[in-house]
Amino acid sequence: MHAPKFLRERNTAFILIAPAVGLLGILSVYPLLYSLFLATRRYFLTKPWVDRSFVGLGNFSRLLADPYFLKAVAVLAKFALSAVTIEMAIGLALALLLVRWAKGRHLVKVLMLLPMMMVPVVAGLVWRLILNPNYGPANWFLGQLGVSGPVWLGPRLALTSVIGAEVWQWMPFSLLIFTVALGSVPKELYEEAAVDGASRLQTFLYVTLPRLRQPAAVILVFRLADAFKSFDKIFVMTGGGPGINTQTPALYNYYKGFVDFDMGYAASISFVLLITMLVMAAPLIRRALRKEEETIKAGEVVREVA
Amino acid sequence: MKWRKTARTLEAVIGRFALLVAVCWSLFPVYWMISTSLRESSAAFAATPQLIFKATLANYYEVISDTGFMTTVFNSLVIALVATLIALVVGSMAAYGFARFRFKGDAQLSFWVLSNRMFPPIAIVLPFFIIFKAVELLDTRLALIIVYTAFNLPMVVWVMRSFIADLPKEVEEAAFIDGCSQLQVLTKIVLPLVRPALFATGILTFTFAWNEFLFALILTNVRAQTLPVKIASFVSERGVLWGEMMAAATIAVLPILVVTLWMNRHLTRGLTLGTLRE
Repeated sequence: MHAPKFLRERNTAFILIAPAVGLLGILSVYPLLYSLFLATRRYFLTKPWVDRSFVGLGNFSRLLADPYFLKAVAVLAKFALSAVTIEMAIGLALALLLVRWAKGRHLVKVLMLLPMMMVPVVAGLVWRLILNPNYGPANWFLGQLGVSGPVWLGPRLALTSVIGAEVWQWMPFSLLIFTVALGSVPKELYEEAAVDGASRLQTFLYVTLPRLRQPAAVILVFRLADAFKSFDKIFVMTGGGPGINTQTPALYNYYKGFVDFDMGYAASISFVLLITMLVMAAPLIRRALRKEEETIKAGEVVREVA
Repeated sequence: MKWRKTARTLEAVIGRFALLVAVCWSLFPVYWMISTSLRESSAAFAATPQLIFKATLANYYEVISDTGFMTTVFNSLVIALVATLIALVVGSMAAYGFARFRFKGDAQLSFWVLSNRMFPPIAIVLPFFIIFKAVELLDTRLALIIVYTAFNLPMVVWVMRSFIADLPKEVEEAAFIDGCSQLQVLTKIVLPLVRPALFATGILTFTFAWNEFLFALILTNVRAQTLPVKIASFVSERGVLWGEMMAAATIAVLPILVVTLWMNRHLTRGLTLGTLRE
């Protein structure tokens, strides 16, 4: 009386998935296509009389030669790599410390998680206040120590300060994941290592470290992607300045599109960012999906890891 | 032997000290934000920051009595809640579909859903701005709801799929045999079982919508302005009113902090189980 089972299943699956896919189609396919469309044209939002002519790859070639863009890429590379490595190093160190002392561990962990829960814009603004040369506590504190406080948001240190704010906010993420990963190492392994006479260093290298490889990869991927997209904090702390010292491609894109209203050019930047992201993310996502498939197929049931 | 013991104690002390430093470093900006919000504006500008000061709620009065600000709070709340709701509903449905059904091209679909998380918002704003402008959806709450829902869907689908896939199929199969329709199985059996995951992803989605800045900045102006944008705007208008800005910031940050601390346990699972498989 009904359609054959497999057909019914396909319909159900379709109905279940359609809304999500539809919405996401709007979010990803459309911007990609439209960006491409815009990027091949000249289009000044505030000067509609300027001919919206097709310029082919003109915007892209201009982009490749654009010193501002190239500098922005350099800034981004420095920002993302510095922030993520420092976050992970500190997060790992703290996780190791936390694991060794059980008393009050939960409270300490929760307290250290606070920065991650702050609105990024607020975090940026608070740090801007703290680093303020006139009424910020940072320089006052340094003054008390007899050290002359530097101009944190000046040309030399702006990028460092911004990286610092990012590390402050996202180190808890590494901490959290490493803590969970460390907690999932079976105690027996440590006991066996002790019985075998392994030194502390050896235990760390051969028992702990291997178990951290996968979580570390996960953190790396997520945090790099986030750093790549980062806009809020930098915008609010330095606006990309002084000059262009902290201007990432994201900020440059913003200025070109919504301050200069050079939409065609801005769209080409957007498109480049999107494609770069896709290319970089593709192999990682593929691997993550494959792992997911394997685990599901093995029929494992995940128990609480924390 | 004695050397060993001294080394061990020293290590314990240094370790504890390091943790203490880390906690202070993590908390100091939060403390500074709150304390600045409690100072009188003139004191906030003092050349030497005072650690002891007369606490006052003047900034909070200023901020709360500004109707523009309260509208902003309302906007943020409504947008975040609705976006979260829709994302959870639509996302769970899709997650169930991905988890329980095998069909052609579902790996590609999963990949695509996941890759959406990687998109830099800035790269997407432009087309959205232009299209929302065309359909006159600029400066509306609906625009942000649509965008935030779509932005969080990948994560919801991804996390919920893990959890649903882990449920033993027997329970659902039994329900089917008993004559339940697919919808009933989903709502009455599967969803209650994954409630913690729903909570966790719900909080993450809400937090994202509440904190989001870029889209709100570009797609709204006055009517649909959200909190983060409003707080940042304290900078340009009349110089920088740090006291009031910090009061507004504290108000903005408080709900997330409270909810997150309260749901801390669930959050750990939600955050990490979506990413770790041990």
